Amino acid sequence: MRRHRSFLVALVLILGISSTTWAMDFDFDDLFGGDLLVELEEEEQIRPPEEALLVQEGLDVGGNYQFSVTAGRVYMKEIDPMDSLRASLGGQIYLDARPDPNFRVFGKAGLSYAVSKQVGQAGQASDPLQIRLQELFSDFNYDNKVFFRAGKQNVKWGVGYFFSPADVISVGRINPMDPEVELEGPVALKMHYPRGSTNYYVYTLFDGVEEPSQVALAPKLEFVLGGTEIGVGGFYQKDKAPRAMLTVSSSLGNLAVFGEAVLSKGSDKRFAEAGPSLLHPPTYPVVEKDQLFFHATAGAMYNHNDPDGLFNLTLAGQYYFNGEGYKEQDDIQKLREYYGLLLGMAQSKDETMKEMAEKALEDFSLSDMASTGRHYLAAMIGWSNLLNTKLSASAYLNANLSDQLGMVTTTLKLPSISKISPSVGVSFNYGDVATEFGGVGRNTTVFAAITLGSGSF
Amino acid sequence: MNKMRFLSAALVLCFLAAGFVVPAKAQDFSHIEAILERLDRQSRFENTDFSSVLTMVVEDQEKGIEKMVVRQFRRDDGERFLLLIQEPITEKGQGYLLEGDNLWFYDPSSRQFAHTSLKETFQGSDARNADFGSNSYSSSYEVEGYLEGTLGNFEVYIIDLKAVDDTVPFPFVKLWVTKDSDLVLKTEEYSLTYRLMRTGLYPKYTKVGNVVIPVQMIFVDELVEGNKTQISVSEISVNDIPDHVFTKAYIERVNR
Repeated sequence: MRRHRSFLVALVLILGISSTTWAMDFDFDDLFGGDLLVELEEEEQIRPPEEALLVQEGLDVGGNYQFSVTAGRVYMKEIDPMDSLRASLGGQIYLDARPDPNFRVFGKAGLSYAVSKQVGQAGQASDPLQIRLQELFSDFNYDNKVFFRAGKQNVKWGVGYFFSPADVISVGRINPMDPEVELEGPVALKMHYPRGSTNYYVYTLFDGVEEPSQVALAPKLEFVLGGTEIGVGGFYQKDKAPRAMLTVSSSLGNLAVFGEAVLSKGSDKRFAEAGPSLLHPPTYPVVEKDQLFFHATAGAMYNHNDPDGLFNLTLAGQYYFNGEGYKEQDDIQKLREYYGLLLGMAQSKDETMKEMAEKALEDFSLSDMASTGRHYLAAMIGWSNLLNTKLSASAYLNANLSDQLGMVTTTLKLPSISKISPSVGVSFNYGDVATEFGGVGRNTTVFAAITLGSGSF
Repeated sequence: MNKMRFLSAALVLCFLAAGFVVPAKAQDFSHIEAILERLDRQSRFENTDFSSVLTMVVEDQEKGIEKMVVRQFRRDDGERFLLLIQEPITEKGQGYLLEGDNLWFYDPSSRQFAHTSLKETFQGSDARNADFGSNSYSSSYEVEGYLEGTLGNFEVYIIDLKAVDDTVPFPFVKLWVTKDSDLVLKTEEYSLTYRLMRTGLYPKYTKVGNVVIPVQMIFVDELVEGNKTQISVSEISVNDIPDHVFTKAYIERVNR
């Protein structure tokens, strides 16, 4: 081994004898010519630095702005290509007030403006400007030991990147094709008691609550074991399925690994039952189930920084076992077909048929038809500054393995000019009609997008 | 004739190179090991906490010049540090919390803590997360050899080190240490194939109690010409830092 090393050193010396290190550009005589030790003047500080970060005069205002235009062409079998142009205008604005180190109020709102004409079902145009409250909370504490956050707040309970069944309290759900998008959080009182690297949390959740008995509780404990962080938690709310969860996150060399497991008694979803044909009678029964459901997921993320800058890669992959998924995909496929039929009937000129369809649609919940597979796989590969150019590429896959269907999106980011960032890409789905990602059938979309003057402030 | 000269030169270089490494077993490195122990000891705040502001100027051939301001809190007893990014505005609020073997990165937009590695580069600069704690030369490396030389106006030991565990970012390191004051002036860090990856230059130090810390650091990316990061340290304080600062709760409180 040592001989091998000696050979390598010799080789480096022989081959690199005329090469130079970039550090040699520095004048070492100048850099190391005077005194090495210097005296730093102590600055008078009104507050200790840890407190200074917690207070400010007046309001801190910030946010981000986004404007993008996307042109696309959709190709489907036996149908002429369809062109589309979509402009997206929006952003976020936040306000942060810190009158005292132990009290602050924070609010953040999201704004979006529908540039394209929006027409509602009844034919009237809806308001193109949408403003939604994303966060509004206050922070306070008891003797700097127990920390409270009260109000609408973003929460990330799980550790999964593409799927997070353990995140039982966020209102939003991760989109595996865009996993880093901010998720809507609950209205809650968070109590946090940190003790060393162990953290105790209790969330009291108020979303949709109309009486005290409906308030939900979610305690959680996080602790470290060696170089691994483990989280154990639970969720309880009257008339909802109680859940227990476990999360693990760690590192194996340069590989970040994570996993989640969730056990629930019953489910908040309803399930389609195999039964009668679609049309006679035109109903399809859905039932509630109160058995134990188990979810598990595991994944890894790896960042590769190529010494030559040719292959700066980010790789991530995650498998998800969804215990609430269907063993037989035929049942849920028929439910989707039935839902499609009702949507068609609701557009009918026959008033009786239309009324019947609209009544039946009231019983439908789209969440009953989401995440219906048992086995999922999501993956991404990001390649920044590919081959030392100003191009960056990414590809995302979200696959329902139970039904052999999925979606793929590939994007190539072109060099930005000033604040103009163009990109092109292709996305396609595979799978049958009326499957989870199949929609109206297989299609391929070619798109070109450009973001104009977007950024944070 | 020229071929003979080249072969002779190559043989001489091989001898030199071999001679540079082989004495590792024969030589007594105890005085060099003592230097490494002193380097580690004088970089550790044993009985006090430490906080400062790091101003980083990152020069990147692709992205241009970017200024980054980071508030650092350090408690070496318990291997803790907290780094909070104050500038640029797009990264404000991101933070790194270290406790022993665990390092978390906090992303304020998702309000999520993610496990990360000390070996990773810091925010795309040429600095690494491991650069912000105390040294561990004596425990993480073994001496392979050394030479005596000069760097600028200073007589130095040029020490070759090889990592003995995988906690450090690079497997081979070369240190230039002043003979009279035990200060690291320069480091060269190498990959497994002995390719030079990064050079560190430490032209200015200050003494805080018994601890000596660099207040000016330059990290040069040796793979991409022109990429370098210069760090200057200011607002140094060794006052006690409350326990609650080294917690996830504190990072969440200071964030927007």
